[in-house]
Amino acid sequence: MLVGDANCRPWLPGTLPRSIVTQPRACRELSSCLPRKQTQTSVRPERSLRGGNILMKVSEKDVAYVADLANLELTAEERAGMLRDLNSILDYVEMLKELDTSDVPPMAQVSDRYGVDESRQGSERFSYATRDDAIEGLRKSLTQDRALENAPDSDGTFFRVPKVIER
Amino acid sequence: MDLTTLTIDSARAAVQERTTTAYALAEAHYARIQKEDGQIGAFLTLSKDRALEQADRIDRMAAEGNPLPALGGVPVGIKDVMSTCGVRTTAGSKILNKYIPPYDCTAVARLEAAGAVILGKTNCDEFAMGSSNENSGFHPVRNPRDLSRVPGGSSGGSAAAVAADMAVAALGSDTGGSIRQPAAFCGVVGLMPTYGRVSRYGLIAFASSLDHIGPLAKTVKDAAIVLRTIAGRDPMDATSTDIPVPDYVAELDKSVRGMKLGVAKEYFGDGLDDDVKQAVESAIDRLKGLGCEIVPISLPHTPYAIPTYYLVATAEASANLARYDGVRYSQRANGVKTLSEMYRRSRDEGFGAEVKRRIMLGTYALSAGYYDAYYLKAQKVRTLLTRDFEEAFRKVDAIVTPTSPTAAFRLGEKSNDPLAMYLADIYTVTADLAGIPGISIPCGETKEKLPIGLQILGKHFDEAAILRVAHAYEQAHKSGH
Repeated sequence: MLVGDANCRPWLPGTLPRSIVTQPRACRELSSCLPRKQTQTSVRPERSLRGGNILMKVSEKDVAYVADLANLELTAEERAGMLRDLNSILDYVEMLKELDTSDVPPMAQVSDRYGVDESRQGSERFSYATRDDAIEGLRKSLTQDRALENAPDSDGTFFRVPKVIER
Repeated sequence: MDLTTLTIDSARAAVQERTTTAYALAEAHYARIQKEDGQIGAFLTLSKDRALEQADRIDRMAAEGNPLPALGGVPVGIKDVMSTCGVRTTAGSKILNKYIPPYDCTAVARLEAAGAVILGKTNCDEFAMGSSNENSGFHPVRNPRDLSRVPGGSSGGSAAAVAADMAVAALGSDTGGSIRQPAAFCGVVGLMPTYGRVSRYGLIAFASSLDHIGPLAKTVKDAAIVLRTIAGRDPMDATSTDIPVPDYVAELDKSVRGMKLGVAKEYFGDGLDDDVKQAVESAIDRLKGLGCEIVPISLPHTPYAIPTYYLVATAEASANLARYDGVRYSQRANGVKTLSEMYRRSRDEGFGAEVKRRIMLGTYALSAGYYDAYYLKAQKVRTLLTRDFEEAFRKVDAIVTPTSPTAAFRLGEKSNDPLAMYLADIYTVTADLAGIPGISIPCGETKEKLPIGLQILGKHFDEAAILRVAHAYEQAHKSGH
């Protein structure tokens, strides 16, 4: 069953492949699954975002280092703006330190906790999300031509890029 | 009959009964776009061939007397962060200026399979990062209700298109409020479903643990029809769940009498505009009049939502946007000599200021030595924010709040102050972080005649409850009771 149409034919009404209108399994009860522990926290009063002394957390050197990690060059003007904005935003997010989170588990995904079969354990909870490991499974692979269509440069078989030279 | 003021049901019925044709409906909307969109700027790309071909198909079905599917002949707009096969998809970014996807987003495919006519792609903040649509890499969108003001963001083009009758409904995406806030600013209905309710396959990723697709529409019922069409498990998106999709439309008319609605004091504090406060309070009174029980609640961690959001979202964005490298997606800087130079210069030229700012912040928050202090800390506070809602939903069926602290602001008013702009999302980011559904519906106007939004938040996978409350309010508001 294929999803997507490599020739971009519009979907005919009522002809959507069954694979993307799969009928769900029987309904399950959803309830919150974390322990009921209450964390006592005091909530800060409103405070001005712009006021106060901004402690410089990020230096020009840091900006250069992070830009390097992110594969951005940035003009001198952009770097100056980034220095100002990052410091002001990081000063603002500092308020998170007021909360004691030593006993709080991190939440990386909503679906860790909601929409799973809670009668099951571990990865079994997400068994609905797995499928057969088939070469042409849900969607037909793109042809080489199609896959290269958006490439700024290719030789018809591969993406073409400048020489790889150590910086 | 004015063909551009119809709802989904009335448009479909008119095509079915042959009082008009899907072709005429599409043409009427294109004519309206031609006339209005020069000054509004809601559309980036029109997909006229695809639309008229689909309209023809629907008209043939109607002519043969076959029953039309739920959105048969209904003209819709699609936010330009959703891939459309053969139709340029930019995510509002210069870096995808010429990108033509080879496949369709599942939500788009489902709408089209239900008979919808895809008019084109709507403008948005670049990679959905913004609250005013001023971050579009092409041009800003203006609010149809007042052209000197923003339509909200990031789904500003979708909201403006629906508000200006250039589309019957539209799809948007919501990562921190990007469906609900523009819906509020433009005076339309905007629904963010539960995380996992609607497949994101084919959605250009911004922050994967927060991204949602949902409808913007003229009525609550229309939003319910679109949600019913696009919701449900999709094997192409592992985060879409297989929890059954109820018939949201059938649930709309159930009584709201006896429903418990929470009102959280944290959503009515400093910074809330007086007119907005008044309108939301009288909306709450009206719901009380409809038989709902109003319950005071507290969501104590609310003040920490914005910093949490901007760490989680930017960290995820910095990873998601690493793929724009000048190799695969159409845009590469000219005259580059080395691979590294190609990456840097292509990204420098292709990304706008806000996108660069968020990539930098996210990269910093994930970098060695800062991961625990920023990213991990934010994930822990995200748990606390989610627990706030769990506690509240033990006592209430839904929570009512303002959608945004103010009505639409002026273009340029906040564009030089990232933090002030981030605070426009203060009442909406919490639902994205917790993964719960939320809807914004119009609930009056400010003294300056700008629309005000009422937000209704619900339990995970209980869109039916918030749609029901929204529908009851809408009907009462319309008839003045």
